[in-house]
Amino acid sequence: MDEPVLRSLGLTIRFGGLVALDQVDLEVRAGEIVAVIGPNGAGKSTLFNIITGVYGPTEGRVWFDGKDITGRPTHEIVARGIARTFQASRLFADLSVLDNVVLGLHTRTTTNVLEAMLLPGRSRRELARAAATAEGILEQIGGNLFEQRKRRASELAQADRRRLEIARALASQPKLLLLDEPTAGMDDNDTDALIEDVRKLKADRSDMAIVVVEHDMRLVAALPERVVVLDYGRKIADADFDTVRRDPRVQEAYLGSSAS
Amino acid sequence: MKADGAPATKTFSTLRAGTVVIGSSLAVAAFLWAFITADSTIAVVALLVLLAAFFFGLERYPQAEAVVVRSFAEARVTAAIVWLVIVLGFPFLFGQNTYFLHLLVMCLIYSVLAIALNFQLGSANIPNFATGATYGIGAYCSALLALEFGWSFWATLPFAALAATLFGFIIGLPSMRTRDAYLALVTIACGVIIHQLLNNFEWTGGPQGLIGIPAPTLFGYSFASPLPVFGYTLPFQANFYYLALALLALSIVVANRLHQSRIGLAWNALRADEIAARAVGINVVWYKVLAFAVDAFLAAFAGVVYAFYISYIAPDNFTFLVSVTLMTMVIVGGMDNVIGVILGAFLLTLLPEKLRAFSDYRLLFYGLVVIAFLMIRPQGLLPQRLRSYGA
Ligand SMILES: Nc1ncnc2c1ncn2[C@@H]1O[C@H](COP(=O)(O)OP(=O)(O)O)[C@@H](O)[C@H]1O
Ligand SMILES: [Mg+2]
Repeated sequence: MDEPVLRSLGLTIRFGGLVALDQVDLEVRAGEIVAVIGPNGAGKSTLFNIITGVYGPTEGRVWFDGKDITGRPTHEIVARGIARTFQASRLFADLSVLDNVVLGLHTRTTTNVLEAMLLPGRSRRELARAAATAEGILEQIGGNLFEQRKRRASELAQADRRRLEIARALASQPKLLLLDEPTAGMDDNDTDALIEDVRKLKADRSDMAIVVVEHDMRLVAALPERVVVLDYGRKIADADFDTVRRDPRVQEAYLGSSAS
Repeated sequence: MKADGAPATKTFSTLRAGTVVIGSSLAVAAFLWAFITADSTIAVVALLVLLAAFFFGLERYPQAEAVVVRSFAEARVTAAIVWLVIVLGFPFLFGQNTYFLHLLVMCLIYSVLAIALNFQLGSANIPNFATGATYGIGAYCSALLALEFGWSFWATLPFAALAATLFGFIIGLPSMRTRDAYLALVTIACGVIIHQLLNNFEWTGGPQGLIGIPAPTLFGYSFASPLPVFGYTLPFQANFYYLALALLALSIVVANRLHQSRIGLAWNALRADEIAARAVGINVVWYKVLAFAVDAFLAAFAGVVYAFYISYIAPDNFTFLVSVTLMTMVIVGGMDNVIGVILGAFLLTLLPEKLRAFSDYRLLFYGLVVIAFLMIRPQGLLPQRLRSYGA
């Protein structure tokens, strides 16, 4: 068995008295799609925040690609190959759609401040190349983001904002993609389109692992190979969708409390 | 048919772009000349009303702005030539009037300072109230080197810039832990501390400051002597006009190069959303500190030119108020738009001078004008524009 791309052991974080994550062990293999589900406040977004270095865990460790990344700064973790989206989308609102994706390529470009001042041609060409790559990514992603690439990100419709956030995350060609409730604010058609997008993406980049936090059960049933269930910060299940669905503990914690 | 039509249309559009470029450039130069030389209160007020009406129109008809911007992009060479002629020839319009030339030099120095601050305030949305202090550090550093060790202007330049850049790094460090209003407070404190130190140290001359800073020389030619050009003699201020002009040109080049690189884009990302900026892999702390350093670097240059021009500097030239004025220039002119920032610097440098007639009500009127322009153009006189790549 090969080394998992992401592994966590005993992840625990306390916010004051609240234990938001409690001894969470997780393994994600290259190319795998894993869903993380659980009631509101279960700690799903917090899990993403710890993996990407927004918070350091109170206890436990995280390994990415065989390296211990616990407590490393976010930009360093991202440069190693993790990209994410946010539950409430966080775009660069006053920049163009294209620039948002170009920024996703930040870790793939190298010009430093002296080079920018002394070798302007090189630095401009580098950014122009990044822009061309970004246009390619916008063309691949569903919807008509490419046609809207010169608009400000703040002018986009809700579904397009979510797509743009995914496009920006994809730009860095991550080994691990973390999607936090990508269908929030989408209608059924948009959700179906998103499921298609992710399928296509998987076909193109078979070794990229995806962890997706999701409430929409259609997506959870359709996409992932494995479903992890969090409840009050604890992992209570980790199996394929059908097994998880029949697990009485999950039904009690999750399906019982909200509509199934 | 098509083969004939295409070049003809192209010639026409090039011609039109050229006309727009020449016309608008000359209009700007003429307005500036009129504003500087306006000698009655009525003339000043009339010119301000004209300017306000112009920007009111621009706010109403953004297409007009688009035409001008496109024309400048199309007729690049024409624009470069026209502006070269304007800026080189401008001092000749004022004859022997040294006051007007002095105003121009100050406009140029403030333009450089405003561009320096724009790296932070405009590009990255970092409120820095210490630009006045870095300006002062540049000035004092070069003045001390010249007075104590007899260094020439040119030799002090890089050292003053280096010292100020180091200071920029140091005041940039708190930005690791603080942001927004708290960071603003830290920079205010830094600015006040520098002012107090300059006031209290003995070797900085205390409140009296430093006097007798020697004028720069270049190949034996002293900047304190009148400038002969083609049998015409310009007052010595013209030397510093061209020196400050060169510095402004350098600042514009630096600003443009950074803006068109991944550095400028990363600063813009910080401005829009710091958490998202982290998530795309931007080292937020480093980029903030970098913005402080670049600001300090350019501000120090401006300080050196100022010190050698006035030949006398005192702590009160570099107060907190200078920083506030610079901030107003950037905000009124247009954050993250270099031309806008220069426009703001010119307007707000000249305004207090032109409002002298209002004596006691001068500040009040100054404030009213600033507010009026902010109401007419809430995003600044020339707002920030979206980037475009390649074609
Ligand atoms: N920075 C924080 N400070 C204090 N409490 C937090 C913080 N972030 C998250 N929490 C708490 O941790 C718990 C888990 O939150 P979250 O991970 O956002 O849940 P969800 O599973 O809905 O994404 C919640 O009770 C939330 O209020
Ligand atoms: Mg959440």
